[in-house]
Amino acid sequence: MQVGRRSFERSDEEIIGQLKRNDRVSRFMILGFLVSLVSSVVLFLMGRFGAIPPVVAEYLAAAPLIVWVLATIFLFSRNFAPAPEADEERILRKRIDAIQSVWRWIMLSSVFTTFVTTCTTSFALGRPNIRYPLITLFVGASLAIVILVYSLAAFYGPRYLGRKYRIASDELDQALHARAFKVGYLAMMIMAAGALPAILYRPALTGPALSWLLFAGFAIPTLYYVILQWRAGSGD
Amino acid sequence: MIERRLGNRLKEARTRLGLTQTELAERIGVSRKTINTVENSVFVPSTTLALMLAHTLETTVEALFYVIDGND
Repeated sequence: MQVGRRSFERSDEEIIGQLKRNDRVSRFMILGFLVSLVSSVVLFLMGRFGAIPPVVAEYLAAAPLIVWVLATIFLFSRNFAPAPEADEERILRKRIDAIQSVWRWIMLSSVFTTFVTTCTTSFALGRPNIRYPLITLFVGASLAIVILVYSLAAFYGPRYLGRKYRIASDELDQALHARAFKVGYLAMMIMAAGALPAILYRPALTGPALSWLLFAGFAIPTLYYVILQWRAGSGD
Repeated sequence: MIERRLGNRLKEARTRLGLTQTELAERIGVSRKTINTVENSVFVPSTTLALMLAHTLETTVEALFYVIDGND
């Protein structure tokens, strides 16, 4: 037996308690999914039949599912937490490849999420609601906040998840990150230069054009970074 | 202008010690991709990383890395 190491053996009660918590989380996942799905459909139908403004229904229909996903992630992280030693630098350093891989998937999913959000909101922003101007403001602000949050994540890299993850950005990762964001800056400037005359020519395009500009400013460097990371160093 | 690249004997030194890229990466605390790109001369490591590589592979930086001139 190793001296100075924490024992991971647990009593039967602890193991049974853990399994019970896991069962509760599993039940919550299944029930929560069904409830959120039904809520989304109800919201959509309420918009269709005029119980609430259609633009509100369109925008909020995905909200129950998003809440379910966030709640599931929160419960999983609480109930399936690794041993406290897993956060130590010596362990994290041996898991750099795994952390980077998870980060790539997080970035890919964030591009997908922002794409879906931009598609729905730019549609709404293209037809500003004159009766409910606050809805247009809410839709635009939501898109801006979502993209800003994801942009911060892309900018900071894995350390966005917590300070301890900063070591997951090794030299190569930092170099690829810098290269991707340099390209992203150029792409953003080119698109902004193109958007300006388009908006001046057709002011109605302002909302959708700015939405897609924001999306592109986040998505292009992020996707390029993911591609660079995937291409770097295959094979042993 | 002569273009210079950094060549290396990382693979020879690593296989001499019977290490895989993953094992070497874990010992140094970098990703396997970093080792792979350095080995393939795609990525030029910093002085710190070069010193750590040399130390881990029980050799010197000069023995591990060399400059390739464009005319070569």
